[in-house]
Amino acid sequence: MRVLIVEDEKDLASALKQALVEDGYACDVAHDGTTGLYKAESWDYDVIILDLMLPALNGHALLKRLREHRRTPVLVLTARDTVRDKVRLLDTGADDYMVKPFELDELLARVRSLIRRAAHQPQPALLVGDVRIDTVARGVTLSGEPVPLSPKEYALVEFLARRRGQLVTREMIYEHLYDEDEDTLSNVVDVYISNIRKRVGREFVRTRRGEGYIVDA
Amino acid sequence: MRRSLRWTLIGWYGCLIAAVVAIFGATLHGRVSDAVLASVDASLENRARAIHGAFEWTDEDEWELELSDDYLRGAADGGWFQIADADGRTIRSGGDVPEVAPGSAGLHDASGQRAFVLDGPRGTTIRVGGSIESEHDALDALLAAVLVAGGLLIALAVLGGSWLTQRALRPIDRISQAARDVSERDLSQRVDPSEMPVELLDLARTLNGAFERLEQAFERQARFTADASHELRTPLAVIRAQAETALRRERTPEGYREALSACLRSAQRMAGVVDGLLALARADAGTLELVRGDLAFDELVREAAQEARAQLPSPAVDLRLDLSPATVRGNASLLSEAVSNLVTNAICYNHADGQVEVRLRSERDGVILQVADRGPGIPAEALPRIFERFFRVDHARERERGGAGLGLAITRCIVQAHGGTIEVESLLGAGTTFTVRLPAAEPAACIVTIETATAQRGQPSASLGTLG
Repeated sequence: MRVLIVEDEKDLASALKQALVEDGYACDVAHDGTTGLYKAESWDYDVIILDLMLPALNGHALLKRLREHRRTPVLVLTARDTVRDKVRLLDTGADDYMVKPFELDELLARVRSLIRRAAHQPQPALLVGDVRIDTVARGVTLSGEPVPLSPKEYALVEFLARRRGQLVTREMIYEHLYDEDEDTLSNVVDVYISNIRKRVGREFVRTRRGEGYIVDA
Repeated sequence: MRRSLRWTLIGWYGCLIAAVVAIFGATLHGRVSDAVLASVDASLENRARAIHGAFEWTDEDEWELELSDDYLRGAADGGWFQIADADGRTIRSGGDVPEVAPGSAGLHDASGQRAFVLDGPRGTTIRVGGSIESEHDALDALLAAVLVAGGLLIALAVLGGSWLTQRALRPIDRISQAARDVSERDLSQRVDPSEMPVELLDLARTLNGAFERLEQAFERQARFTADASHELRTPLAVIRAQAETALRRERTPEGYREALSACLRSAQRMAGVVDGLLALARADAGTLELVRGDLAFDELVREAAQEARAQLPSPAVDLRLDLSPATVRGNASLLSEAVSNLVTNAICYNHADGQVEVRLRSERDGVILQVADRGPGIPAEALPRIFERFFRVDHARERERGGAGLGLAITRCIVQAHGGTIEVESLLGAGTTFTVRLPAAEPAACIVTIETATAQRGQPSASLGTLG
């Protein structure tokens, strides 16, 4: 899952990025509104965390422009806590908001919730055959037995499971699992897929040669 | 009880009508009663004279009266006459003569009776009289009618007056309704001047003006609160997020150091905002304490400007001082603060190799300090708001140097507390000039050595907060 943080307060953005990356998210940061809008429109983020008071282009304007053609879930960070401000935010197209200062755990939970809702899978655990994916604890069990996976492997399992029944291309995997700073080798996904098959079973994910991967519905 | 304008008006109106009715009734009653008595008197006198004419002594003790008794008694009921000789003995009488008949000539009035006395021949006295009770009854009836009509008139007048005052006071009701709406619900409510009569138009406009200023003050206050909360919550969010992230798992010493540095930066920024807010709050409350002395202002400006320059990481900016000797009476720390804020701004909002000129000259009625930069300038639409609290022309750049947008607001407070003024001129692309005018000090006997402000200049408001 890939998250964009648009926040001009660099110390805040860096802390958020660190926490998200440690939870297995790919994470990009923009320090002003214009760059934020450009990135938000260039990549298919799973969630955008948006500050309101931004240089160049403020959060409201960014949100308005983004909503003209993007459905990316947006979680707004705001210092304003009046009902009028919150109503205005939600009515501009924000999916959720948090008033500063916020608790990190709550922010991460809201990010998870937004991702579930966007995938129309509100349940926090996904079941594919005998494979159970706990998106809160970020762990996978096979017939009740925990499966050891690296953070990236887990992220790939969750990403595939969220799109079960849909064809997932390599481009989609790269776009959602890596941030803009990471260099990716072209065969790294193949390695991950092979590891996943070894640990959760060959039948979990099928390869469509030349097209991509699919988890059966 | 509170005086009601409406009932006061109605009361006065009622009293006026009552007075008019009373005067009218009394006059009417008096005139009618006079006329009735005059007619009674005339008829009595006529009868007396007729008796006098018809009364004739034929002999020593003989007399003749050629009138009928009916006539003598008078047509009205209760009429009477009496002819008495010189000794008071009744020679002849008719009707019910009252027991004590008046003696002397002329008109007499007694208990429902009216009498006329005429001296007859040979010492006789002719008395003619009659009851005037019917006339009294008629007059009483008239009085009653006047009272009833008067009462009705007063009642009508009070009702009409009440209706009239209600109508006349309706615009005032509307004004107070609007005022109530403004105070209770919606500050954007106004009195509609088109509904107001000429007499209340001025009041309505004055009130609308007051409502307008109230709304603006309220909006300013709301904006200030929102800005202050943003300026305090953002660094708090940084501290919280940094600390929570750092504590999620074991970190390297470098990781902890980075997190703690970020927390410290935010704490310093919060301290700056809090100090600035406290200074402004003191200025607002009028408790900005001014320990004043006569200062060599040129020396103070030089030190403050150079110190501000030394604190900022813009080595290429050229700071030029053109200072003539000048003396002002004021507080050294606060004035240093003001100069430092202006110079800091001029250096920060400048091109990397820009120029800042600080000019000071002394005039007859005061000193003029100018801080001019050749920076990008301030857009015309932002100029009027430049001294507002938390107002920032360029959000990002100000944030980077750690200011909260309070420096100019504080500077203006300091200048105004010294009885001075501050103005700004700016041309986009050509630079900005701040002009401070301070009143001249009285010719001073001694010039106090300037105490240099030791507080940190990087936080323009920090040193002020500790002064009050």
